[in-house]
Amino acid sequence: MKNSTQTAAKKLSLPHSLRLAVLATLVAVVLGIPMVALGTTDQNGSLILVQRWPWLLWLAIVIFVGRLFTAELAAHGVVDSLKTWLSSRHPNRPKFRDRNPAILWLRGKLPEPTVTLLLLAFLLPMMPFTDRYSIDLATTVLIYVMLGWGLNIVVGLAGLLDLGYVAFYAVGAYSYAIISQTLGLGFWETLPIAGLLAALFGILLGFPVLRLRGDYLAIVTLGFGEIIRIILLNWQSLTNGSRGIGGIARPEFFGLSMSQTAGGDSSTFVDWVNGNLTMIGQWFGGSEAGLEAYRLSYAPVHRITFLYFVILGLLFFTDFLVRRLRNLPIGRAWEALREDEIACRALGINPTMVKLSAFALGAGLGGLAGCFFAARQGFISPESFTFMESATVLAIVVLGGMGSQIGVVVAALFLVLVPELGRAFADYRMVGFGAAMVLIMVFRPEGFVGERKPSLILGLVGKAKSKAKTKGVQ
Amino acid sequence: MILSLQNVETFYGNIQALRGVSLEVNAGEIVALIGANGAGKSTLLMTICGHPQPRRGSVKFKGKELVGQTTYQIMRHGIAQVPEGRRIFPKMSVLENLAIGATLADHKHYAKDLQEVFDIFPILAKRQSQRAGTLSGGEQQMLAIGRALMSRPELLLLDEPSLGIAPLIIKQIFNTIKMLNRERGMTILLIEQNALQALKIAHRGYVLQQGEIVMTGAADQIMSDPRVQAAYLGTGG
Repeated sequence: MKNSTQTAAKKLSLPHSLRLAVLATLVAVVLGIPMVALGTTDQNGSLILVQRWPWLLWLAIVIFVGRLFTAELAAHGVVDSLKTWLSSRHPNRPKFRDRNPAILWLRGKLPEPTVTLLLLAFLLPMMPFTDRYSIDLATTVLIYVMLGWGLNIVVGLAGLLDLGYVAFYAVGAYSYAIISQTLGLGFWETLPIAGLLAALFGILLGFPVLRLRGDYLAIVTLGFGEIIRIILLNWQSLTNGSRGIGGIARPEFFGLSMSQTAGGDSSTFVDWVNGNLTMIGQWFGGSEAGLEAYRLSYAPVHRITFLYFVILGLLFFTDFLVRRLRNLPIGRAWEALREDEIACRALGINPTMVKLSAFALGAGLGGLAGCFFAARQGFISPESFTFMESATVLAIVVLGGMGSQIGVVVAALFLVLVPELGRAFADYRMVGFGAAMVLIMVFRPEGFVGERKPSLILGLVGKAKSKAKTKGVQ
Repeated sequence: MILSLQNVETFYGNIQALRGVSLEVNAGEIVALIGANGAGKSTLLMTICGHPQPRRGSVKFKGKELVGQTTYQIMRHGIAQVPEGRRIFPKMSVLENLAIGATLADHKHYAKDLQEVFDIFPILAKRQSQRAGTLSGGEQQMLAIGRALMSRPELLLLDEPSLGIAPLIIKQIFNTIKMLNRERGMTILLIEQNALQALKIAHRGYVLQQGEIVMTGAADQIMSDPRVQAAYLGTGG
């Protein structure tokens, strides 16, 4: 029975594939006329129309052959088996992590995967191949990880689709910029204030949208993100409008300035190191000339490396906080609310408090990331806080696998590094990036890390019992 | 008397779903509320839970008025509900489902309560790290009851526990409900379409028809009433 249907499918597949190919070619030609065949170029200051009909012909041929090929592949089950192979969902094949001896050996010996990755990240600036550019890039990745973890609480755990997350990032950044310039507070004093202010804005947004879910919530949060950006643009006296705020103070290292010249009464990091070096040298009776080799001279990479460690420290804190919360009743309540709000009410859980806490915490983490962003850039303007940013962070959360901490890290690496590596291909990099996104969603619709790890493992009491039972079965 | 409803009237918009319902549940008894589809059984239970709120009448739990309180406040007085269709949290593990049930209970009872639930439903102990959504219908119903018990309720509201479950498992679940009442003294308000099963384990019963209580009395008395037999038990003419 099964065989006959298969042969029937094979016989019929060619005309069907041809139909698909013709259809795709038609669409390509219709789209191609304005986009490929007709183009405008600048000639002596005036626009003229150029016609490129041969290009269109080539496009049509490529699309026709390509679609015919893919349709035939699909008809013969190649795509399906490829999918199965790629997603390692083959029934008789154990998962990679269950058969790789190295992973099996490491299992149980390493801390949490996120902690492991952060510890590895700690070593990055000490690697021989690391230069200024790679540390800078890694810092960008880490900012997105921080934003991803923040939004993950709201979208991944509590299931509230937030399209305006960039608003809290902006609140954090502007909090630091304005507070440091008007009140003269430093980075470390402002950091908690920026977080709290952003959390406050999270609650402000949370209140009106408590009754909304899904699409409706997404629209309102999208609007909220735009409102904040437009306020930043127009409140000239406070935010300096579209010109932005510049000259934002850099973070200090325990009161030591990381810049070349000391500002105010603080000395520079380099002077401090060299001063201590002289002191240590005197203890051991070394000569000034011998110490000369160890003397630091000012280099911008110090500051960049320092900033990298600052955001890494923030990430250790965030990871600990989020993992801890997930194991507490409030974390489980977030996830329960995502699953079934009515059942939550029936269990006496106050959905208002649960939602607001998710909004506040997610926003607060976004605020911390924003504060760091302002301190790192030294200059912020509303242009840094467009919807594109919200979309990127949301893509990180969804691509990583909703609710997964480690998934966010993987997705942030992917979303920041792939466009960056593609710079060599300039015009085509966004095409490649888009294709990569589509492929991931085809082959891994649940995200990189689609599996949810339970927050509770075997309960104290049930442990012995269930073990005895499984043994009995064996 | 632990729960009492006095002339409760509930509306969905302009449609009246409950017409002056009065009902009482005494501590330590199982009360069965039976009725046909659309009689208002679930509405009655949801009215106790405050969603929807009754337009008239009063709902008192241990002498405290529940009307006007929100659902989550009502559930904190020591009432637990096993909702219709079970409504477990499918993506979370069995153990997490039970832990969420205990959110409002004193944490020091957690281990003991969990052990008790596992004693009542040993299958849940075996499945505790499994995703709740992968359980069978009967196991999900057990999980829903277990989750409700984790909040240490004084009154358990059960909404159609036999819905969509294999007959053999139904029997098991009703035996468990009976055991909960007889051995642990749990007060239970049981809402069922499966009138025979419900009345067999109940002390008293109410028959609801088109939003009105049309009959009340001891369970065996209701069971032997010819009208009930004809309408709900399928044994009469």
